[in-house]
Amino acid sequence: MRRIAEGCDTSFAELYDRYSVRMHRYFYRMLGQDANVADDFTQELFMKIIEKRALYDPGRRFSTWFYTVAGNMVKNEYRRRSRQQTPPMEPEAFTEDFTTDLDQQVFEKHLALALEQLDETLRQCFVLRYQEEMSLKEIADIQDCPEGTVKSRLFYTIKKLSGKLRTFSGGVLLS
Amino acid sequence: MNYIPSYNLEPLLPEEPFGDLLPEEKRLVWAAIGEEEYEQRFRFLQHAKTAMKQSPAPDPAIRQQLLAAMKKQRAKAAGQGALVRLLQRRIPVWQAAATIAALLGFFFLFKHQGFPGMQSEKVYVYLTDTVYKEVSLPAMDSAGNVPFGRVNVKPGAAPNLPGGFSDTIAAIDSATRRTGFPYAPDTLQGLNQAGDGPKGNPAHDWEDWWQFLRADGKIK
Repeated sequence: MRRIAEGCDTSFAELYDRYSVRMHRYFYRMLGQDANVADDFTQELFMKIIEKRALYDPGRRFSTWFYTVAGNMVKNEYRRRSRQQTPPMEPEAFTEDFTTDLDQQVFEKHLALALEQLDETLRQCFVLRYQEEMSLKEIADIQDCPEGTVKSRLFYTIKKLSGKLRTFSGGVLLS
Repeated sequence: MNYIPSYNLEPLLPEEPFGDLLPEEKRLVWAAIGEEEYEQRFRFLQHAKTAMKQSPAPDPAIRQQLLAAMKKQRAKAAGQGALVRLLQRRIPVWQAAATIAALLGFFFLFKHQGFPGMQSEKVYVYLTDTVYKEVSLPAMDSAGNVPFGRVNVKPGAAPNLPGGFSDTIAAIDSATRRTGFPYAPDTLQGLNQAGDGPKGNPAHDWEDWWQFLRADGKIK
């Protein structure tokens, strides 16, 4: 960050290459799996690094700080959407056909719908843990809460999601 | 046996199937959610992790746009850098005080002696103004008897008017000016216009006036 602050293009390019895919994937998952929206938010996030470098807190680990900024952007977007009162997507009813004609894409689709229905804190917790593979401590730093709370949130989220998607995890997928 | 919250299973869930757990971990699972539920959640997490790895890559144009923005920002910062460095430069207080004192000294010195390379020239500026005095005026009609048609008196001569007219000034009109009388001010136009109105006294009845006008040099 110091070299970026001094205007080093190479350092910025290196930072972008290291984090852009992760951050894009994070936005993609958190904002309704829309690639264009994820593009916009990824660009905006890196623009913050260029224009508002003073926001960076050197006392924090960069990745944690970066995800915190991204998380705030997502929260702001949720608020904006809630003001517009966009109706949440309703997951399609599962049918028995899925158990016999199980497909990872179908599972992915229904997982996305189930995630959409989660509270934003739980969704962020789940995505950071199982998509971004962060430690409990890192998530606790980002969400500004104790590790025990993170564990509790994750346990509750897994219970809820696996219950909703029980059809998919019945046994065929395990093989 | 100490109570262990069930959420402490979370670190195990994404990592190990039930069969690979240690005996004490299995006991914890049995106590909390049971083997079947654990297996159910474990399978769900495996598929969820795989599914969430699938996502489109960011648009390559973003990288180019950001690098262009970075260059632009750097150019902007370079422009501001020189001024910032100058403002951030630290000097001892005595140096700052001496510099200010020297500048003030030069200023006052040159203010009295003239600044180098500057020539001065004295220019006199005259300001003029005209003050008019408003006075009452006797109505008179001597058109037929007074030389040059009208009697005109300059305002400055008003105090010297004879008789009961010490506070009056001359009767003046534009007709007098038309006669070519050299001292007639251009005021009170039309006051003594000729017409069919009553005539005034004959000139010989106004001896005092004649004397006054002769003394003032208006008539001979």
